[in-house]
Amino acid sequence: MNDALFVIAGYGVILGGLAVYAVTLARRLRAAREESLRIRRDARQGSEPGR
Amino acid sequence: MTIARPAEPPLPQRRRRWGLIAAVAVVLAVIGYFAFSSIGDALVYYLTPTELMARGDAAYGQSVRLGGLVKAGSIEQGASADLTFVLTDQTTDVTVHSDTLPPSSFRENSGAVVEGTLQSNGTFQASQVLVKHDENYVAPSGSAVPSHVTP
Amino acid sequence: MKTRALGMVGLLAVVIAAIFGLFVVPPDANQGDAQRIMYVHVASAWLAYLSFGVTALGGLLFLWKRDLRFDAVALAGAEVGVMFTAFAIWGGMMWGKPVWGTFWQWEDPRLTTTALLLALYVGYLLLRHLTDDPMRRATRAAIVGLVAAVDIPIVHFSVVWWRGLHQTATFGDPAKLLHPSAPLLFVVALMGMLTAFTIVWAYLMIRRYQLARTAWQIEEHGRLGRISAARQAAVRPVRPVAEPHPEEVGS
Repeated sequence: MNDALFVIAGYGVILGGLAVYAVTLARRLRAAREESLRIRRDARQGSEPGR
Repeated sequence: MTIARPAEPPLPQRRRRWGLIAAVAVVLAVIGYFAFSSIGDALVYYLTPTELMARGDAAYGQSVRLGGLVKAGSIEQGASADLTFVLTDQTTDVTVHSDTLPPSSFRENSGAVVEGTLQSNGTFQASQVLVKHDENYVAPSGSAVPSHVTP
Repeated sequence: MKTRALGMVGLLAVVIAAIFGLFVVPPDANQGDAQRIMYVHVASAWLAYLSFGVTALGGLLFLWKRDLRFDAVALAGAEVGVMFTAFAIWGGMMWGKPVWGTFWQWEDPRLTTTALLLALYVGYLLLRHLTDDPMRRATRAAIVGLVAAVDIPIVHFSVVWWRGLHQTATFGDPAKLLHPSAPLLFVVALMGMLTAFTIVWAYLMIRRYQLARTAWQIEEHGRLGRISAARQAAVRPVRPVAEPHPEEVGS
């Protein structure tokens, strides 16, 4: 029936949205951690010749 | 000349803090205004039939929302989209006529909110019929209920 | 690793709860299949409340302890809460159209105050971009988060305080819920979805908190880098003139 379309739209957007957010969040976190690691490595290499 | 006066820095910070407090106060005042103004008549979502009739002659021709219970046995559905029913608050009855189809959940003894105007003949001409249901959910009676569920 | 396991459990729970709510539970006698949206709608609304409650609490603890980790918790709550508020509104619209006969009614107090809730926390997230100073940013965010939290009880009780189209809370009257006439399967479906969403919420909150902390570390490192660079630049003229600038010669 027509109701089924609303149910599909309701569940689809909410559950799909949750999944998309979770995946995006994991990706953002991975990128941030790589960036953080890179900065720390660069800092160690950069400061060693001076000391 | 280059020596900074020690008394200078704390002052702007304190001023900024007062600005922040003022901003918060304004936000709170706006929220408070909205919250308490809607307790009054300014933001009533719908009128009951009794309230509408209490307006007397002023009620006619005014675009309002009317809410109440669909009186049992009062629904007369004509051809395609010609609907007449009685909306009641158990004190006053108002006959409502609509040319638009209500949602399929529209039933007698259930709540309804109609949008439109009271005509001079005493019937309410609705441009929109909305169903106001309550939070009581009921399993369908009969075969649709799984056998292990006791009604 | 434990967080990943939590995410997996949450995913599994949501799948089971969705199958239960969509296919196992009978449709409501009055509303038909559209009532099935109630399970995700109410669960989203509950987690929106919880998220913003965490934001307020995190803000309060930050103002008290001046520890930026509480600010990260508050930020996680605001972002996750905005998402769940949007889901609650979307689910409500998809439920409202077939059952009420309308997607949205601006004058309905529950709907209007919920829209305000969304706007307030979108504002909270935008406000965080206004300054680079972490302490000042956290202080401002904490105050806004506390002020915005005033709307949470207003949203919840709007259906009791004012007339509207929206029905009163599903869990407003426990006696009614546990009454024998309330179909047990409906209650189980709703509790199942609430549990599943809450597990997913906990997972997302942990991940968002971790992201906030990592981002802060990167930010902090950039600040320290600028300070040491400035210090080196200030020291350089004192160095012996004979030594060439290594930055200009090298690479």
